[in-house]
Amino acid sequence: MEQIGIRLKDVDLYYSSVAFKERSLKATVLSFWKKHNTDLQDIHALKQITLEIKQGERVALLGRNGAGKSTFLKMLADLYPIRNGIREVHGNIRPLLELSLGFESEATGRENILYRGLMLGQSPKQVREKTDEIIEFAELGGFIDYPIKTYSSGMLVRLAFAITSTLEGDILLLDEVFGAGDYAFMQKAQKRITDLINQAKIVVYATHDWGSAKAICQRGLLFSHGRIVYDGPIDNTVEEYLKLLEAEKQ
Amino acid sequence: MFYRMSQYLYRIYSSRYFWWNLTLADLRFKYRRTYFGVLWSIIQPLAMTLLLSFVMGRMFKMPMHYFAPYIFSGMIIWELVLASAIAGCTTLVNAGCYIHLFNHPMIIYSLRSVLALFINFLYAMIGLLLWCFIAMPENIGFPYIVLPFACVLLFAWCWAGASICSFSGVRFHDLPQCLVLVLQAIWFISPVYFPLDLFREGRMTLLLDYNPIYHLLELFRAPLLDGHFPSWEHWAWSIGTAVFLWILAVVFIRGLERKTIYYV
Repeated sequence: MEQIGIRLKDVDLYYSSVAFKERSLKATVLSFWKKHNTDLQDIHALKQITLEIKQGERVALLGRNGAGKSTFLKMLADLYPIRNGIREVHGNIRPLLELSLGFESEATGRENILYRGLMLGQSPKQVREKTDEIIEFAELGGFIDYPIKTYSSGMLVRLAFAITSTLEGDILLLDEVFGAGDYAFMQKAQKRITDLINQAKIVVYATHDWGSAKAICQRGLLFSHGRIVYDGPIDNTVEEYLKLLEAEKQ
Repeated sequence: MFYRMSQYLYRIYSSRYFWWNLTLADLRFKYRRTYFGVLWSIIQPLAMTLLLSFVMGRMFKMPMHYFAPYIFSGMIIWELVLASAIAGCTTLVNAGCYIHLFNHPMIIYSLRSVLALFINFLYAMIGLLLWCFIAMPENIGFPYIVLPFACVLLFAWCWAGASICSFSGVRFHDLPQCLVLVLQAIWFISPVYFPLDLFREGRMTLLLDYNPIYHLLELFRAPLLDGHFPSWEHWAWSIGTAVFLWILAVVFIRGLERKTIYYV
């Protein structure tokens, strides 16, 4: 059986600037009068990332906003293409990223459970077997048969979390703490996340909360301006993070 | 290259439950809470055909029993081609919420759009077949066997076209407007509604001979309206166009797919 694991070597990732350039007729005409060159450059979002994550490891990603943590997770999930280097991921990925995306607003909650489950690679039979459990966990009651355009944002996140966290995978990618409704649900969700972390063969967790990072993970990666500036035991990584914050203050 | 292509095809196959259920969802949403439901796929072109064949039949002095299915066939095929291209332009933008969550082959999103339109087309084809059975029973025969192949070719055209439009549409937001202009021009020089004699008598046979739309239409009209097999030129043009569109689509997928996430 193939060993679950992640191997990255000299990975560079750039955000393509051409997608954000203004290309209207007005912008073209005005550009003749503009003195400054405002051409956007590609953003070098991940720089020379080299690391290996082995089966059983729980890894926390620390760093300031925009340091590259979420981009790193999306690169692992094979959503963002890398420009240079080698990216090898062995194992099924279960991404808990951008939970409130990926719904058909006209469809009911029940229908969306099916679509989201299928999107995540499950078969209709597998999704149907788990539908009741998902509905119960999401605590949506009779709303489950209403179109989700009638749901509040909290209900949406609850449903998304219930679906995504019920399905199986080897590598768990977690991004930040989510606001999934009321206090009681948050408690329940926290327990579910703990179970997921225990079941998963690899966990990669992006967070600003080093308390939870220390509780969950043994290893930490500190990101700064798209680079991994520290890779080591989680306690040392938190210390390095605090030093970095201090240095940036001064 | 063949390994990569087979891998890509396998990924499309692996995600079959996802795109097929989204297609069914599109069909359900389209007719949800309508009284006639999917029957609108037949009623709408049928009503337009009656109106147009009445007016244009008199203008062009064409017998109604021939001209009405001529218009019907032209209308449903053209509508599918047009709607696939236009829907293709916004397909990936609309699928952005999925693209940011999971790395499926992006061509499944144009497949979703085109499949829903194609199923509507197949319903409309039932109306056309019924019409031809009743109005032209003398044409029923062996040439009808080409119709499933013609449908597959039409689908291949539309899926490739919609895929090209989807990758271009996320980069050039003016594409739908440009496309409407181009397709309107093609409509005017194609025998979608206008009778073939109009082109021949007006010494515009070049617009037929070198027009893939004409050849594709003939794959359906030859067996249904004239009771004979389409000529080899019609097949060659239709298959050639499908191959050309797919080569273009593959070039677009290879060159543009991975960066599309930044645009949606």
